[in-house]
Amino acid sequence: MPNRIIQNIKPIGLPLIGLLILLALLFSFSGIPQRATAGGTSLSAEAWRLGVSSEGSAAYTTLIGRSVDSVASFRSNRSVQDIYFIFPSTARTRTIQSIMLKIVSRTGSYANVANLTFEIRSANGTLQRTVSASPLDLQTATTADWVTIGLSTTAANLTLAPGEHLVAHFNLADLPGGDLDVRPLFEVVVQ
Amino acid sequence: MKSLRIIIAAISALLCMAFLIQIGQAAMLANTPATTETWRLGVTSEGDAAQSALIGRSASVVASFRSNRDVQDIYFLLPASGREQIIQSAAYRIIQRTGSYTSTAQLTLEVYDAAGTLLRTASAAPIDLQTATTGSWADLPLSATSAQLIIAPREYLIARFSLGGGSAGDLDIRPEFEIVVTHGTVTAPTATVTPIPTQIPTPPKIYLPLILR
Repeated sequence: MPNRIIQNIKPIGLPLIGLLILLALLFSFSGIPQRATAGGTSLSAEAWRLGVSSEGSAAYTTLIGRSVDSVASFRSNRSVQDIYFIFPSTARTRTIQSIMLKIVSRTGSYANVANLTFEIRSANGTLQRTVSASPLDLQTATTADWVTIGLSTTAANLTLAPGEHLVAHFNLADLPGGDLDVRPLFEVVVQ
Repeated sequence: MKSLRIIIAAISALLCMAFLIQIGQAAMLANTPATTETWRLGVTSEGDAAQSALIGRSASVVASFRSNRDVQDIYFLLPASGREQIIQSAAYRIIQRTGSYTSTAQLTLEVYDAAGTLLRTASAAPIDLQTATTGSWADLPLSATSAQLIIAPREYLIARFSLGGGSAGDLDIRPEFEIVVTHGTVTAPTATVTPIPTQIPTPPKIYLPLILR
C-alpha cells in the first residue's frame, strides 16, 4: 500500500517540493502587519518644541482650553512676577538630554533681573526639581543664535516622571514693571 | 497525471510572481526610514469626525469632552500621517472632571477615514469616563487584533467621547493623551556593545518533505 502511494506521488514529487518551498517563502515575506518588536516599543528620543504660556500659574490645568504655541511670551508688565511656558506631560518616565532656546524677539527693558530657569513641576504647579544648572539672564542673553542651556549635574534633577511637567520659568526679581518683552522658542530633547 | 503537473507548475509560477511582488514591496518600504512617534496634540470636534473639522483649528494638548453640547459624540482628532502607522501603546490622563451625566459617557480609540466614517476600533474596550481615575496616567488597552491597530495613509486616529443617551447634564471632562506609533520595524538604540560570539551559533534546522523517487 505505501509503495502504491509513493508510485502515485513520484511524478509530481519535484514540483510539489518546489511548491512547498515557495509557500514557505511567501509566508515568511507576507505583509501581515505586526506590532513592532520588543525593541520597537522602547522609548525613543523626542524633541519638544510646543507648549503653552501661562501667566502666574504653573498648574497643568492652565492648559485646558488653550492652544499650543512654539513661541513663548514673557513680558514684564503682566501683573505677575512669574510666567511659565508649560510643555505637555508624559505618560512614561523621561530623561532630559538637552535644552536649547532661541530668542526670536526682545524689546523693551526691566529695571531688575529677569531670569529664565527650566524646572519640573507637579500637576498642581509645585516646584519639584530645577533642571537648568543656573538661571539665564534674558536681558543679556544673545538673540543672534540658539543658546544651549546648561543642565543640572545631578542626574535625578533631569528625570521627568508621569504626572509631572517641564516648564520654562520666567521670573522677575522684583515687582512687574517696565516693558520688557521676550519671545523665545525652545527645543528640549528627551529620551 | 500530466494535467496535474501542469496545474502545479502554473500554481508555482503564480506563487513566484506573488513572491517577487512581495520582495518589491519590501524593498520600497526599506527606503522609508522606520520611526517611532509620540502623539499628544489634537483638535476637539463636536459631532463631526470628518478631517475637514481640523481646518482653521489650533492644536491643543487637552481634549474637551462635555455632555451638554447638543451632540452625542465628541472627537479628539489626532494628526493624520502620510505613512502607515501602527499603534504601539495608548495612555490617557483625566486632568479635570466636573459635573455628571445620567447615562454612560465612554471613551474609545478609533480609526476613521477622511469623511469621518468609522473604520476600526483600536481600543480593546470602552473606558467609562465617569468612573475612570483622575489625575494619573492610565493605559488605554488596545485591541488584541493587530489589524485593528493600523492607521493607513488617508486614515486618522480619534479619541471618541460618546454619550449613552441624549445630550444633557453638566459632565465636563478634560483628558490628555499619549499615543505611541511606529512606522516600519523600529530597532531600539542600544548603549551596550554586542560581544563578538566566541563560537559559531547553531543554524536553525530546516525540515523538508522527503519523497522517494
